[in-house]
Amino acid sequence: MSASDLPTVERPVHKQALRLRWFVATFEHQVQLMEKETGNSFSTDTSALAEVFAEWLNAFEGQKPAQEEHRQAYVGFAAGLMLRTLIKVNPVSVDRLSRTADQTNPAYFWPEGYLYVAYCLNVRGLVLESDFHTKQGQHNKFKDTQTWWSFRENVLEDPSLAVGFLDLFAGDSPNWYGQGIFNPEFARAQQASLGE
Amino acid sequence: MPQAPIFNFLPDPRVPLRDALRGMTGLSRVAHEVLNPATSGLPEPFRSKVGDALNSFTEKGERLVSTPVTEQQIAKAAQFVTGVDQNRDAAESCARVICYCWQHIHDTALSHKRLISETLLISLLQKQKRANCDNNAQFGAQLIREIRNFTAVGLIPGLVGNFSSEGKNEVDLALIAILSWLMSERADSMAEEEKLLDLSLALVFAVRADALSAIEQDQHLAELLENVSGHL
Repeated sequence: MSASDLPTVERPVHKQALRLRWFVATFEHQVQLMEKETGNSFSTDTSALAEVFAEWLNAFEGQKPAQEEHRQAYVGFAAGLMLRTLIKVNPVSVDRLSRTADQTNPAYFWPEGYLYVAYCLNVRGLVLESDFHTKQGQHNKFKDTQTWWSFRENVLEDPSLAVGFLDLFAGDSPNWYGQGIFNPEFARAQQASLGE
Repeated sequence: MPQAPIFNFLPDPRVPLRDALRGMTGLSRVAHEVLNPATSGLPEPFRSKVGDALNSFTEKGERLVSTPVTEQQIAKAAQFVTGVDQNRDAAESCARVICYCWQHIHDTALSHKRLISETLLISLLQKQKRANCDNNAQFGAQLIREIRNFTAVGLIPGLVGNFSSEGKNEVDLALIAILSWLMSERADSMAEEEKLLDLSLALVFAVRADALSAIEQDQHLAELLENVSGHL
């Protein structure tokens, strides 16, 4: 899976991402890709997806920075907010696991969570690449079972930790104390450290 | 001018066929609800036969009522709602499309059965002037207010009906969803338009509390319509 697997769009991606039709289309596309890759089978509740979108949009609009120089950093944070909401609302259920499912693989350990993370990372990467001409990294923790144990246990108790975990999976330094509040200074330091 | 009948239990022969069929399918459903307790005392196979007959009547009526609209009609309806075209045929297309959407939502999402009269809606829409509003969202809010108040929607349209509060809420949310969908960017195909309508309803239900709070005040309703249609 990569950002290039998502459907291409004509407008800036960060504008498309603010429309429900794009969110649903890309999410459903991600589900299909995941099913092909893992052999798992999922069902998606579209009403719940609309609920995810409405809640995420509210959170996104509530903290959107006015300054241009903070916009790029906000992309990662906004993707983390999406992951938080997806985990909280949980619009997807697993119909069937692949017959060859290996529970040490995160895709079978927590199929829904893996799907949500994959989607958020792909959209995050797509926006950074197409609108800000920046390549997103990927940390080896993304495939690490221990990290996924910690991820699932922590975010099911406190979904706001999803923001930090998504940063971790994307190869950025996570802000574990952010509590779902955008911190442009932290984000600036994060970007600076990546440039070193 | 001929007087409308006092008791609107039978369709007025002057009403277009679609409205008459809507009335009949509505009657069939009402008959089901009324007869159910009575038929429970009937022995089989009579109980099933009564049910089958009513179902058949409802289904035939519904197939004819659900004649799909075209993308051109949807575009025309959108032009009416956004003030681009306020002519009679645009108003008629708008009424036709609203009724089609109503049927679609009615069949897939609503639990309370409410009919809508295309004839009354055309008459109502032709009286609305976009020029009286500052922007499209305000015009959309005005249309919703007028449709709500005009009894184009009801158990038997044209009669002032007693709605339960939940039934009234469903009507309001459906109207907001339909107008938001008409005000939003058009899709690439008829199948996509129907999916978009479903998404509009899902989104309005997701913000249900805000929507029901906004509907009583035109300015807030206009802002809500702008928000929903802009993010659809």
